[in-house]
Amino acid sequence: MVQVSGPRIRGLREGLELTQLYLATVVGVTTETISRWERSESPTIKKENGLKLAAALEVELTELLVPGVEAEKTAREGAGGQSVEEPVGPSSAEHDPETVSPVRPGPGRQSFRPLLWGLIPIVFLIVAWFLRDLSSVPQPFTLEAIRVLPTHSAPGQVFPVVIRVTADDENSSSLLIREQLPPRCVLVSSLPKALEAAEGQLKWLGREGGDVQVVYLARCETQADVQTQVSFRGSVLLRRERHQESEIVGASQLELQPFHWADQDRDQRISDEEVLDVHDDFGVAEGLGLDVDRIEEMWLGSGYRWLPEQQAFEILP
Amino acid sequence: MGKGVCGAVMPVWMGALFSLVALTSLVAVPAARAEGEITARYLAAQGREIVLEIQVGTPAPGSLIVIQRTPRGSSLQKAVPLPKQSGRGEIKWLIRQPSPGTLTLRTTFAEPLSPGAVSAVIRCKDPLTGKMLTIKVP
Repeated sequence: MVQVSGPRIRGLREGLELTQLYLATVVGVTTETISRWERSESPTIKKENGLKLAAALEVELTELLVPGVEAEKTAREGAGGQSVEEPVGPSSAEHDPETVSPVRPGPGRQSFRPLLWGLIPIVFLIVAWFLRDLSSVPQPFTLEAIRVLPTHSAPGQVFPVVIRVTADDENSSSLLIREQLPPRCVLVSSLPKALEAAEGQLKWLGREGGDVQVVYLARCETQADVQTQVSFRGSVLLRRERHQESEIVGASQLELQPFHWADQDRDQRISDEEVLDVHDDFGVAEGLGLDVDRIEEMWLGSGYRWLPEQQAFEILP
Repeated sequence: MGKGVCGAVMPVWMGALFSLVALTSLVAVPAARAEGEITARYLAAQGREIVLEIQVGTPAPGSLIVIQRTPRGSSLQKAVPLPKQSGRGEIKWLIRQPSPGTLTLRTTFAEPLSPGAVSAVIRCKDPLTGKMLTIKVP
């Protein structure tokens, strides 16, 4: 330990136009410590710090010491090889809690570390649960409507159409489905029963929540040419606090061709996959009178043939 | 110092444990939905009575086609449930809206069938993907 002269330090620092911050950074203490040294409030400092301070001030350490005290301190340090405890108060620079130099964490500081480490995952858990709750917060409801329609049907033959409405809204809401049949197409039956307006405009009105399905059977006629394409279009309107309308997407085109609507690949026979599709996609239409048994007969037989004069199919055994 | 080191290390693995729990809670999903799997086996594949057992998973397919092939000339006496068609060495079932669980098809023939003489093919649409599935038995 050495006892430095406060006025001497200040004088040298100001002479070199150095700031207290610069000295504090070089020595590794706080500016407050430098200030106390300069005011001679804690003039006894570690020799190591004294050497750094002297170097910063571009002088020898001895030039910073209080005359007559240095020798005494040095002698006491060396006595018996034992370190001499300097009777410095709590305001001593070396015990300054604000010192920049590395300080070994005390027992109090260590006791906080486990708590901090434990708190991090807890905070993480809270955030995780919060995010979970956020994900379950009802989003603005979505409304989707998909039409399932065969790609083709024979002229004058009944075919099924299914409209599936998915409303991401569990509350009961007013629902309106509108479907415009193509020209020369007529409604045969529907489930639920449709309100039919003029010129092939179909409407279903209900108060529904969640998913809704509408199925109907239709028939289209052709004139001179057999191969005619017809288009279906429609929309669905849901009203809760506000209106939301969506166009019915999915299949919208149907060709009038001399093949059964269930014969997807138009090879004049009903395959295993095609008969399964009839049940999976249009099984619900059986309740409307869709002749599924006749399709199964075609599946079990070797095929079918279109008879244009009779506008009917002949099943081949 | 040793105590201090222990005190500093212990929370690390504790933190890791908590983090693992937190991550698990984040990625946790409701009970996993079982695959819509179809499996089948013959409980009796020889003799006069042939028993085919089909396990239908959840969700069940919309419909099932079962084709059981038997030696030509074998005479079917009884079948439960009733098939759609039989003859020419084939018995065909079209089962609409099968329920998840066990489905048993029993056929009784006039003459005993020898081992290995009977086989089956099950066809359905995967209820999850819509892909055509073909299951061969045995």
